[in-house]
Amino acid sequence: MSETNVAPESGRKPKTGVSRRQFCAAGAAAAVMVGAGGLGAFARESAHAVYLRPPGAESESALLAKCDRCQRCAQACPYNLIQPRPLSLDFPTVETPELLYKDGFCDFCMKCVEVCPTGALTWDVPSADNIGVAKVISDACVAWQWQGCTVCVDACPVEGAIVLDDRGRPVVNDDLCDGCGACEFECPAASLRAYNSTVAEKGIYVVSRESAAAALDGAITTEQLEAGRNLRAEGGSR
Amino acid sequence: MNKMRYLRIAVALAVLVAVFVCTFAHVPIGTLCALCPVGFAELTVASGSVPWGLLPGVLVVLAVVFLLGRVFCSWVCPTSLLKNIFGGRTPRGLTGRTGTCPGCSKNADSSKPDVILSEGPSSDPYVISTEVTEAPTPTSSRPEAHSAAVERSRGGRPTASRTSNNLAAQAIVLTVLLVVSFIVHFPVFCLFCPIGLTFGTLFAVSRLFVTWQPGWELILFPAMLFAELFLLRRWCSAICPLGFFFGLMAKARARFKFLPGIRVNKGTCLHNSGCDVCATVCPEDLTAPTADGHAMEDCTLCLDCREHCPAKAINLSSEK
Repeated sequence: MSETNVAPESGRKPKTGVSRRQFCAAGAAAAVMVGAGGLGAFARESAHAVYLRPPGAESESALLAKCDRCQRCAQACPYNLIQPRPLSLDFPTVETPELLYKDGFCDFCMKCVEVCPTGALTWDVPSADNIGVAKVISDACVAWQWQGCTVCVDACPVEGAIVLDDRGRPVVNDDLCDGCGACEFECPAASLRAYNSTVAEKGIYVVSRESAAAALDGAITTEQLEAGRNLRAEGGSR
Repeated sequence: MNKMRYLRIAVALAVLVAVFVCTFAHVPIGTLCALCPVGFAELTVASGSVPWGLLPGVLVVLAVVFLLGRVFCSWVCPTSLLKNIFGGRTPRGLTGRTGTCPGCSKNADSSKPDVILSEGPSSDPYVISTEVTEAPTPTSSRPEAHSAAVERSRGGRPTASRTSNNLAAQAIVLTVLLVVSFIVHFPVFCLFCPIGLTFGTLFAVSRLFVTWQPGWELILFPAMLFAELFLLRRWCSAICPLGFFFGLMAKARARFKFLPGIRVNKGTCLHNSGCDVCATVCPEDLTAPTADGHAMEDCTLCLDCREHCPAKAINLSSEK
């Protein structure tokens, strides 16, 4: 296929063996690129994946189309929340920024948006002040399993985003929660309850609003979290 | 010795180290990807909007290439860093940017002692430079050496620019990857780019040690790098779409003689007496004394020829 393309271009210069081999190499590389593009599109489509992205990501697909993986957002984040995505079966997303509330939580300093050179993270999208939504994990949460823990309610910087119900259990108000991750970061579930590998480490997790887990009402189970956390919600935008 | 090579390794390493220091110091300078002309084109077609924020960096890189030549290729690109480090003793990697082994093919039929292949007890291929300086005595006529040199520069290798062919090959790759990026809505080449893979490998290693998260990329990224640089030897000359942009710049700058480039002092050059050291060490397979402006578009200013010229006839200057 490439051979036919190159004929007119190479006609201007005397053809040498070197150039023929170069064109073969270029053709092979082009074929690999086509294959990888197709495979990547297939992987994306079959994975139905969404991830928790830094503030200002318009949507999963927009971020993937606009991000050139320069890691400036990851460098800019003062709390090391932004990590390049590791290689997974959904391989086109490799090295794109993902938000992990391991070392801290987001205070919307917007340094990541400021430094993004490509417009993958921008100011004028809903997610600029709304990263995701917190989900209480009913089988991991201390307050749901026992009672008395109010760490996430106390940590939450948004008035009314997490409230205690009449049995003292935290309930997230989806409309007020901005996904800052303070609750997830502070949640002491794993340390209060003896280590149990069958339930989630934390009693509350922030998930992308595009995810299937976010579409569920109220508290969810560990199983639902793991199944729906990185899965695009049915009927959601690409 | 290999002073220039070590200097190039140091410069390219300094860039990688700077990126990592900035990562841990929270200085958002970004990786080289933030300066990438290919990334700019890919994102434009993939997202349907122009990433204007990338443009200043891209223009700076292109301006540097226009003013200084393809210095990026030999001095900054992690690809040449890897070739310099892991490429063995030949001037730049097992093969140069052209994908050919400098000094291997062209000495096969010459009367000169084989430079790279028969080193004898010496482990340094460059000791030949002393032998060569001794061999041709400028006063005595050595017609066979002379004719061999001329034949080598005329017949063995085309003195005309390979850049046009390279550009055509790279243009095919660029066109295909832009079309694919447009269709699948993500930058396809970023998945393969050796520059991105180098940074990806380093980030994976840092993830391994900082957050203890080993991943498959620790194996796959180095394997891809190895395949691209050492198995697919023509990567730099025939595939790298960045090289397309740099080649265009090199073509443009060839018209401006006042821009700095490799110049040969014809008065002291020993090429006509059979010396071929500059061509032997050149990773681009150029013969500086006979190459015209078009051929010199391939030059990446690695300065290996300048370092090894026995007559010190090669210099970096503005006027030929």
